[in-house]
Amino acid sequence: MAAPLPIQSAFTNHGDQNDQELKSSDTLPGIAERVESDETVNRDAPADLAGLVLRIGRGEESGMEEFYQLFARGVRFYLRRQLGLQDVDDKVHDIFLVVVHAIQRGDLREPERLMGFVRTVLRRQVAAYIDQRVRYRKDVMHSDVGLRVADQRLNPEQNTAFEQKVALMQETLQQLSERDREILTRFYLHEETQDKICREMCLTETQFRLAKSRAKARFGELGQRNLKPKLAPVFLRIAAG
Amino acid sequence: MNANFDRHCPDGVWEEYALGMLSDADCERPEEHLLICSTCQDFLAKVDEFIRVAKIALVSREHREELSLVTEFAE
Repeated sequence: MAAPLPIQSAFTNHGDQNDQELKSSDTLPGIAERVESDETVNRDAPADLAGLVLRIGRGEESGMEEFYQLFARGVRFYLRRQLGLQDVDDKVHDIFLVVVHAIQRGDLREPERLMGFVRTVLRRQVAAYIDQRVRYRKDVMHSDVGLRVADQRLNPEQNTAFEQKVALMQETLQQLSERDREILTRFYLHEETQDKICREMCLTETQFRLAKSRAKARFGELGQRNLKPKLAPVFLRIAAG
Repeated sequence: MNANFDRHCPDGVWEEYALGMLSDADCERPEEHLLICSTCQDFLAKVDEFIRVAKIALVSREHREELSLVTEFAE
């Protein structure tokens, strides 16, 4: 019998603060699609964005604190995901300052576009960082140092968890029909669009979604069987389609 | 009210986002929503995880199938 997987996720890059914030994600062996209805509303959505922008513009400390609390987690998540870095606190702070200064200079003419503005700043920072890293790597290669870039995201425990999850997925694939496997291969591996897959395999959108749901559900069930003591019932939530 | 972050994006959108299938314009709404929604951040982390595991499992399955074909042919 396979050993239980560690709680720490093998795939996500959440360290430090986010390890605590994202606990539920870290225990999941797969993804069960979310059930529609009451879960469609974002409970984190700010009530008064225009008011918040106004307060930041006036330099009110409470406004800036609220803004930081509102965006820090999302910005940190985005940066970690895009850059594969653990320590992004300095970058989060830089982005915060860029946005606050822009608001105070009056550059943000439509307060309701605050999210879009933050996103633009974020994307520029990510692009600049990637550009810088690419140039650095080129320089290092030219100097013939032979740098070996280690993937520091996974520790040995996480690697074991990763391998166990892959094994679970292989078992899942084994239990699916050939057609479902082809759908998953085309979509997840060859990254073909849903339209193309449906057209070429003569599938309806529902059949396509069901094939993916079946794989996720089976993966979740197998994961639950192996992780039984650690799993919460939420893992078996399966979407209606 | 702002449609970009008051309502979650459909699950399928996050899969396409994670697979890099969305155009820059199509990324706008999900990314703005993502910045403010911890539920979707958690969900996207799970989607990323599922896709990585699926890719590796599918690749190794494809390789095994190719190998068995080669072996059959050789025999």
